[in-house]
Parts: sequence; structure tokens; C-alpha cells
Amino acid sequence: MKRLYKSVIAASVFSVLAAATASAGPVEDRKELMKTVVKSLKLSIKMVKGEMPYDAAAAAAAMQTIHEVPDKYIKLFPEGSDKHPETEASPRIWQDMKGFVEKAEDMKIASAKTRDAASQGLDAFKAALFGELVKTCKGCHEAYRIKKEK
Amino acid sequence: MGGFAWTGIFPGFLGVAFLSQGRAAASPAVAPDLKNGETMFYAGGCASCHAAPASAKCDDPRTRDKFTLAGGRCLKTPFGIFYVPNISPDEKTGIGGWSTAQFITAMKQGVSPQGAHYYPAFPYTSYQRMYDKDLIDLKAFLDTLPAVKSNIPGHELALPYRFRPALAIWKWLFLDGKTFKPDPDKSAQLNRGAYLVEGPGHCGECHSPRNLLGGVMPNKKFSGARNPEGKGVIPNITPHKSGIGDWSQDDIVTALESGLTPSFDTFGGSMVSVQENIAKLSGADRAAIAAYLKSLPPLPSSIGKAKKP
Repeated sequence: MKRLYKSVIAASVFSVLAAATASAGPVEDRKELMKTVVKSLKLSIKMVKGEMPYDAAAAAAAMQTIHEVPDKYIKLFPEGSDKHPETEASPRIWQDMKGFVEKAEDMKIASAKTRDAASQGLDAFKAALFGELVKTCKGCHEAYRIKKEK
Repeated sequence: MGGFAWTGIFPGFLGVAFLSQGRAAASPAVAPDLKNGETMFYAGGCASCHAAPASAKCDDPRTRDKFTLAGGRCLKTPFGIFYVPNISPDEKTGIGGWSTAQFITAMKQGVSPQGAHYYPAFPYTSYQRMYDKDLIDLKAFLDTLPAVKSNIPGHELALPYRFRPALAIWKWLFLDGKTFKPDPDKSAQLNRGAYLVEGPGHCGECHSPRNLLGGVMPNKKFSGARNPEGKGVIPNITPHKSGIGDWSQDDIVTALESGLTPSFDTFGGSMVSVQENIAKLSGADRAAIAAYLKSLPPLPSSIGKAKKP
């Protein structure tokens, strides 16, 4: 009786674990977070290009969204998630996690600076967007992303 | 006059070397234009390969500083590992001891001052298109950069590729020795763009598939390829829907200026260094590059179809 009890507990624990991993793997979660960044960046660029009227509050909010990504993002690189067939994450991430985390830190700093520049008007926002944020995007993609075939 | 008599006696290929030396030696009467040399330095992307890597890892895509051309970067290719040489003005370990004529011979013929053939990992197949004037200016600019000593390991290549004289055959197939000639039917902007893309910019060296012998396939130039360094892909940059067909000329200019693509992504990998160099050119040069790329025949992507040598 006691053995049956134990196996029921064990089975339910395993099924919960299995469900958790099946719902979305780290690679899918990484992609979702990057889509959030792209969405916020798209809005910002449209305002900078004059395709949308400049709204300082919306610009700051977009940068705040980007600012909140890196802390979540760097937790999504468990061992083995470099083997996913679709991932564009470079194996260098796992070889040099410290450098990768530094890039995430750069992204937080750059997005905060760009967020704070939003209230100073379009020109200041644009300068920070290209001079700070896009630069850190590139800095990380340079070392830690490998472009795959679409 | 005596020089000309000699070239008549020597076999053709030596004659070419003699002529190019004579030609360059006659030029330094005019002071080199350092500003143009700097433009050529950025257009040619010298630092992307020759600047020392940012970390102790020889394949670190980042560089410490663009002007320390100590070499040491490793290129891991299907042929083996190439180690990029020192091109700083150091007399012993760099190219400080080279004459301008020797520099031009290296850039256009892929031949070292000692007469050895360079492997085409050094993109002389593109640099051969460059005007001598631009190369003279480039050498003068390189001479203003800091001289650094470095010890670069020898290339580690698979056995059949270790025999350098065989490169003469490769060159016979893939090196035509033609300097860029502007097309009188095209605008000055398109000609400038063509020169920058085909010559110093050497865009086709990475963005084109290669045949089994490692030569760029001319009818598929710019249609993308697998990364010659093994991982990932290099995109199609012809105006085809699988390439940059939906990019406007302005989109290309923005991308070259900032690294931001029309899909709100950024460049990555070695293109970051290339873009940051191109960002140093004039706006007119970036517009010329964009105009030329948009004028290319649209080709379906060669990624995936690229043969592995």
C-alpha cells in the first residue's frame, strides 16, 4: 500500500515536470522575449523616422519594456539548449557566460539611458536609440549569435 | 629603357611583375592622399581581419582596436586554419619594410615580396580591381598606424593545400588581373558603388557561393552562401525576394550606417565590423553602394545549395 502511494506521488511529480518542459522550451521563450524587443524597437524607430507622431511617454514605455528583458533572458540558457536545431545562439554563450551576461548588462544600461532620453525630445531619443541601444544589440549579436537559414 | 629590354626577354608573368613595379615606382612624385587612404582602409575592411582579436581566443569576432593591425586572428575554413598576418608598419613582423610597389603586387597579384603566393583567404581576387592610386594612398595610411610586433603561427592546412606553388593554377583560374573599369553607360554613382562593392569592399568574397575549387561562382555572385568559417549563413544581397528585394535603397543606407535592418533586427557576426567600417565612409559612398546592390540582377538564394569544398 505504501509503495503504491509513493509511486502515485512520483508519477504525478514527473508528469508535472514533463508538462512544464513541454509547454515551452527555453529556445521558444528566448524567441518570445526577442519578439518583445523587436516590437518595442519597431514602435521607437517609426517615431524616429516620422512615420508616427513622437510620443515621449510611449517611447519611454517601449524602452522600459526592453530594459526588463535581459534579466529574464539570461536565465534561459541552460546546458543543452544550444543543441536545439532552430537556435541562433552561438556555442560561445556557453563557453563565455560571463561575457554574455556583461552584454545583457550593457543592454540594461543602454535601454535605461534611451528611456531617460525620451523625455528630452525626439532628437535626444533618436541619438540614444542609435548611439546606445542599437549599438548594444549589435555588440551582442556580433559575438553571440549565428545567423541561420530562414 | 634598359628595364623594358629586360621585360622583353623575361617570360610573361615576370614581365607583369616588372611592369607593375616600374609603374608604382614612378608614382611617388605625387604625395599620397592620406584622407583617401583612410577611406580605402575602411572600405577595404583591413581591420576586420588584421586587427588583433579582443581576447586571447583567436576566433573572437571582436577586435581590441582597429588600428593595431598585429594579426593573429584565425579563420577556420574547410581547407584548414588560416592565421591572419601582421600588416602593421613593424619592419620585421609587419609590412613596414615593404615598398609601395611590393604592397601593390601583394594586393593585386597575391604575391609576397619574397615571391610566394598568398592563399585567397586574403581577398586579392577583389583587391585586384582597385586603382593603383587608391593602393598607394592606402599604403601611406597604413604606414601612419602604430608598428606592433607579433608572432603569428603558420597556417594549419589539410595536406593538399599546403603546397603553395599550386596556387598559381588557382590564380590562373580565378584571378584575371583586371583593374576596375567604369561603365560609361552607367551613372557616376553606380560606378562608384560598383567599384566599392567589387573592389575594396570585397562583398562577394563572403556573400557568394564557391565551387569545389574554392572560386566564387561568377553567375551566382552575391546570392548568399554558407559561412566559409563553418557556422551559419551569409545572406543573399541581390534584390531578390530571398535577398534584399524588399529593402529600399534608404533601408540599405540605414543598415550600413547603423546596423539596423528593415525588420528591426541588427547585423551580427563579422558583418558588425564590416558595417562599422562602412559607417566611416561618406554618405555619398554608402548611397553608391546601396544603388549598386539594388542594380544587381536578382538571384535566388544560394544558401543551402552552396557546395562544401
